[in-house]
Amino acid sequence: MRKMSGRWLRLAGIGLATAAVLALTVGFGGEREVQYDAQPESVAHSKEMYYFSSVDSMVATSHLVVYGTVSAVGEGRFTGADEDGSTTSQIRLRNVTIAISDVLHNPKLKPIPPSITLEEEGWDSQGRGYIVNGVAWSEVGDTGYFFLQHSFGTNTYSLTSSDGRVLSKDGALVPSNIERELAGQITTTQPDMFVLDVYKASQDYASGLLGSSDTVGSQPDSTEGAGA
Amino acid sequence: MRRTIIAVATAILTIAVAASPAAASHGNKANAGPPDNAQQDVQTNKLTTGGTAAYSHGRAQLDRTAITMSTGGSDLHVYDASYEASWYGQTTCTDRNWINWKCDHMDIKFNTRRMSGASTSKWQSLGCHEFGHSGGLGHRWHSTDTNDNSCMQEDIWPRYLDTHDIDAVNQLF
Repeated sequence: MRKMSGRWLRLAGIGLATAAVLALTVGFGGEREVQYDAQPESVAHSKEMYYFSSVDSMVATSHLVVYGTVSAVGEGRFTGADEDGSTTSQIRLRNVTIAISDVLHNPKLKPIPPSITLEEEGWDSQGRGYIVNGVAWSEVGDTGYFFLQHSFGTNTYSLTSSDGRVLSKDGALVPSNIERELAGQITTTQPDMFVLDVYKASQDYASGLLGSSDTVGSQPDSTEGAGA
Repeated sequence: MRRTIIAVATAILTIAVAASPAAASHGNKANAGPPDNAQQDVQTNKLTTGGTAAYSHGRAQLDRTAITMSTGGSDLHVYDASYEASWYGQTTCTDRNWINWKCDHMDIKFNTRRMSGASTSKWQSLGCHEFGHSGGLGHRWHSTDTNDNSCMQEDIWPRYLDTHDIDAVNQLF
């Protein structure tokens, strides 16, 4: 009798342990609720639509350039679900609210509200936070220049490229993608000259002296051979 | 005996943890990897025609290196979908090997929204580029690839890893 009780106790213990593990891994409802990282844990590397050789061309290609301060951040919409509705491929964008101090470039003269929403990446379908091409997540209090393109069909914006955020910190300019050559140009520019450069580029664009950049996608196909 | 075992185990663990993840940087800093081993399983997820061309070509390019590609779901997952994002393709390390901190799992995503209407050649270039990231390679520009024949360039569309890229990946293994 004592032997049987011990066996049943062991079986019950194993059962409880299994149930606990299952509950912890898949949740009581059978579906795991996605937890979104508070901080990014990896860096994504992307081939982008634009590659700028100058701040002027980035201004001319942007729909809006503002100077402002990040006042709030939060989880945003999902994008990239598969056509059959499966969500393993999707990502979740991050909403960044920018309180605008100054509008430097607005070629279509659209009414710009006191604050706008910038969408940045983000989290993958498992809630793992990541940054793209070295651009750190925007944080509340970040102040600087934002080079933006309007997101079609929404009232939101995205950075024109990974170079598209230039923060002002301790009297210096901090580029968003330090890997690119444009970062060197930005860091060697005095902040008071930078704003004048942006204004001038905007005026040159308005007067037709400066055109927007073509996308990388519009570059011709390559005809090179393999392995040279 | 027990002390010896503990000492050996500690030494192995120390070496494994201290081993810095080598980066096939060849003049650049970005890399999604490097991968934690030279045998990479790859799994596709209902790719479009363009995505399939990118996957096939990219996989074949990485196979030219010391990395051996095979079909399976444990290392690389490839997706294509319409992303509201300003990139054509993206590679992310989603899980790291806890011993050496190299990349254990990666996701490759192709953006059908931005690649809409692109030629097969461009899809192949994109596949080569993203699979190159999964092999530990970073971006290149004209200043680091003066003959413009590496698919790791950001602003043009070569379709192949060049010998410099292949050497850089091979140095990792």
